[in-house]
Amino acid sequence: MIKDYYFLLSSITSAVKGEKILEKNGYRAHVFKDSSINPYGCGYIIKARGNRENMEEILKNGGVRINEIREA
Amino acid sequence: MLYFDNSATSYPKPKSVMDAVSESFLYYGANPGRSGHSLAMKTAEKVFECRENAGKLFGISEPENIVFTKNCTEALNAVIMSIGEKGGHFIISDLEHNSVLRPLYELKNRGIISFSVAETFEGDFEKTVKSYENLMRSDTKMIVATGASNVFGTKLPVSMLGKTAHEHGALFLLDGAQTAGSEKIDMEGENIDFLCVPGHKGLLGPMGTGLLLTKRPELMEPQIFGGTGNFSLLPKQPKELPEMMESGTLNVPGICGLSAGIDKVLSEGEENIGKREAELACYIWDELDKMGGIKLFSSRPEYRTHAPVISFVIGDFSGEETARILSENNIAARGGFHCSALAHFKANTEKRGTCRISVGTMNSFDEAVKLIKIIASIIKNNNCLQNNS
Repeated sequence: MIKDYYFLLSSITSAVKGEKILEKNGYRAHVFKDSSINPYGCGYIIKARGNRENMEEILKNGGVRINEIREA
Repeated sequence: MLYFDNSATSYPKPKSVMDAVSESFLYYGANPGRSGHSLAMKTAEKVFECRENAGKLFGISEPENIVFTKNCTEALNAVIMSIGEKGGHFIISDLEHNSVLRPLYELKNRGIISFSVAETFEGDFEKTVKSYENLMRSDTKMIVATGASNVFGTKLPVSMLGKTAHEHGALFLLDGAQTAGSEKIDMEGENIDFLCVPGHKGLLGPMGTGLLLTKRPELMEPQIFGGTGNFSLLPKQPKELPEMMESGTLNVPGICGLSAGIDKVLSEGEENIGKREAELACYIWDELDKMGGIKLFSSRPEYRTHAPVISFVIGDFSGEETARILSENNIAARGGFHCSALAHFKANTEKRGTCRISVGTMNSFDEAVKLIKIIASIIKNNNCLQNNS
């Protein structure tokens, strides 16, 4: 299902990497910081719109470690 | 001034590098990986772009496995200390810089590791590899090799050594201080587990920049502890690269300049750069070889076998005195021992040292011609040959 999702990461490098990978695959994504949403250390989150499973697979194949995925 | 001290640091830097450093203060002035405002995010993306550029240049597809350091020495120390603290045996070459020798010597003195020094054979790659192989032991953890001697330019057979290390179950660390930016380095294809490079030499970036690239991130241990921007409430240093190895604020102006330097290397091609430098170095070497009154310690710096480095002295002068005479004639070269005790003992130049001319990508043929004319005139002028120090 197409929705907005939050991908919770543990570092800024993972967040920027993930954002670029999603954009290369045609998704609209952007990184922001909110420690109240992301408790996993850095507070950086990728917000992206699309199919959750597809985006998750793309990120995992790209070597991005995701701590949690939430609906935005 | 005629600048021929590029093995110490490249100079001048390309305009694109100077512009990138300058622009960083205007457009990338916030702290990346700390805050969430737009300037911090823009800076974080710029920093990431440099990691991607370095990955493209050295054949590594995970930008997170590329760590910024302040120079090549810091990167080498980080790898050697990470691997060495668990003990084992190491093999290095007889051309290694003190940035490899000294951390290993320290670990040996603490009773943690042992290491052997492999004899190298100029131009005979197979004999050099055999020399390493003969020193392999069941507890050998890592082979460390420089891409090229910073004193004599002698290149080592990098891919063959990487293959040898892996065949024996050991790791391979390449010190790319003298070859990064002027020779193709492919971490994947050449079995390189760890690559350490300065940002300010062949990569044309500002001083105060270096890189540690690894395919074995799980083996790295933090050497400096502190703020990383992640897991802030935990006292334990986070294990995730690159942040684990990058505590404290990054040198963003340096990284912006380094990224521009790598861009230039990528656009020109490292082998094109290296071959052009070798042509100039060979011209200088040939002219010096024809001159009386010069003692050359390094072989003709052909691209396949040598970095563009020439070690020599004028008359009976020491390396330091020769460099001083050149400096008085507005030529920048380095005299002395070049932080490379092993190389000088190997060549029996440990008393006199050498004067080193090192060619960089910004040197022109006209500069090489002028250099030769000045050295020729120094030699002709007998008064200058008197040691007046």
